[in-house]
Amino acid sequence: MNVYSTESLDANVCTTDIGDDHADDTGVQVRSSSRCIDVAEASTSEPVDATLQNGHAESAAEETDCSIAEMPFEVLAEIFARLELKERCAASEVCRRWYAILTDGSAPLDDVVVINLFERGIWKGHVSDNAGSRIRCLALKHAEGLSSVLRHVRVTNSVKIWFKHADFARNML
Amino acid sequence: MIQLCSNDDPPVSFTVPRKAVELSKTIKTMLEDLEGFDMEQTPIPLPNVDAPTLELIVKWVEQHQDDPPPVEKPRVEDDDSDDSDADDDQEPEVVIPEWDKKFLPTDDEQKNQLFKLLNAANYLEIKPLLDIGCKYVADKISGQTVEWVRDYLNMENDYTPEEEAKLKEEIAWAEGL
Repeated sequence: MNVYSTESLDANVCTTDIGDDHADDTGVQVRSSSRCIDVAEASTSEPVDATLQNGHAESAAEETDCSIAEMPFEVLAEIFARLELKERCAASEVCRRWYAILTDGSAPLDDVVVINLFERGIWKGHVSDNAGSRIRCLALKHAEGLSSVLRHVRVTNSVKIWFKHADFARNML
Repeated sequence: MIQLCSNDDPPVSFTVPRKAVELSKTIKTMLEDLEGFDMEQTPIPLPNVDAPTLELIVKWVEQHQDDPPPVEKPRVEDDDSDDSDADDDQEPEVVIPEWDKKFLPTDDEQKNQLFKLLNAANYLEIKPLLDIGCKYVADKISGQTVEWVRDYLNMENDYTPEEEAKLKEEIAWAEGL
């Protein structure tokens, strides 16, 4: 998290790296290799019919009830990746599983770079000058918002905070 | 031509051009791994996909078999060395093509079918199909109330009233966004 002050108070810059984990990648690899094994067995040793009747018929019948509640994590993550912060907050209210997926860093709110706190003037005077970069700016009126933002991003140092009041910085840090 | 079998009893099989079926990364990888076997003669069982869903998948891959392959973003190995390229790295906004809009099972009574299709697209690794489906659902739930989303997706509220109140408080600020 980078903290910027426009009043050049104690210009605290602290960088925290929560760690960019690649758990997803490994998960995918494991999964696809096991798929290959399934199929290889099916098509080489066993007759295909046997595999097909091997209990799948029942599960197919149950699956007619398919709901999004049983959606695999990857699909939900794909959906959540297309939501903005406000919508993500609403989605985290839907059920525990969604909250967990949205806030555990595996489906992060990417590229939030600047949060313009409290003062529109800061955005106007300082941040928008650096335009050209596709910065996602969130104007937060309340300090509580910041903790929610941090829950929804993968690494805290993708978030930059601009502030005007020394008290605010003290509270947050 | 490649034969795909649904998980029904008896299985329903679909014959699909190899080019179309290879839009599924899962099947493409499998076919490559089984080079040397006569895959034209060997139906491929798909234990996670039922017949109506497989029919939709087949329709979609046949329609899109001549699409130009999605541009794979070259993975920049050394991220820190060249920050100026960071902008080009952003995912382009997914736009659902007209044909796909009509194709997606979006009527209310077809919701289960839509979710099954997403599951199958995920399992078969058909990224463009997963993209448009997820885009559709994301657009659909955007800006809706929590109750509406639960209702639309047939989801249970598994929070206790206390937890719910606490969470509401926690994200109350987001109302003003």
